[in-house]
Amino acid sequence: MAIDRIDGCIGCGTCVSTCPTDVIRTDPKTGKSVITYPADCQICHLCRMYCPVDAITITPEKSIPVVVSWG
Amino acid sequence: MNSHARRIPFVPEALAFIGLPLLLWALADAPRRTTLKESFSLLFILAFALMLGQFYLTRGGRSVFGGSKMGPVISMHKFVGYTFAAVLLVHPVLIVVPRYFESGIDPREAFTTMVTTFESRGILLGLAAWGLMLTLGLTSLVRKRLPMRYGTWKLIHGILSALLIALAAWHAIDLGRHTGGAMSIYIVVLAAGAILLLARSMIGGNKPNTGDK
Repeated sequence: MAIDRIDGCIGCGTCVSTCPTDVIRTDPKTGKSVITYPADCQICHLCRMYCPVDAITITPEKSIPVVVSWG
Repeated sequence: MNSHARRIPFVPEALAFIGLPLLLWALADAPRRTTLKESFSLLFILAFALMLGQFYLTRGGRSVFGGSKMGPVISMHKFVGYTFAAVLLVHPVLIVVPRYFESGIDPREAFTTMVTTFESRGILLGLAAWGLMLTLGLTSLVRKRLPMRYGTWKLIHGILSALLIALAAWHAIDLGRHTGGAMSIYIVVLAAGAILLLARSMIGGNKPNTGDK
């Protein structure tokens, strides 16, 4: 699992819409985001980067190195 | 509280409203982030805990921690109140400041999204508490210019404070990154105790004070 936990979610839904692989869903009971399909996480960090309150933690030990293009 | 601990003023209060929250923060399993973000988190935790402590730095609440003289208690109440109310008033802005040093969402956009997510109960509670805190701060600053007696102002101040702490405690427990089980219990116990102390002093524990202090 790459996406690890969500602390302090305000339920704005930004992470749900930014996740390209639909890992995060909104819990209809609480209105907050929940990690629903962690195995599908591609470690793109988009949810973390666009969360307005920085609620998402991605486990560093399972992050893949960023591919940098040269030339 | 024994007399030894009372030799230095406000030691029990500092342990309860600074030491204990720091301990709970250190022992919590919340993921550690950058120094700037953790510094802000610590500042907000301390500011909130000291706001809870405000109820115990009053005529009715000072007996809980051994009872100091009223003059220093009121001075401390004012100092802590104005200082940390200011911190809590700007904390929605401070939350997004680290975004200036990261890629991703624009800090202004993050702030707008945060304060306009009206579907969130925690955000609504926070906005209501923010408004109450601003009202409390301003009415305290200009108290002597308000067309009301000190007793009336004190009653309104107490009622607004009780409402504020109830909303703010709920907001902190609902949205706080560090409000796990232990921190939530700490907040609930102190907030409930604070409201009970206030109710006791309002219902008849203390005679109305007509002076400035």
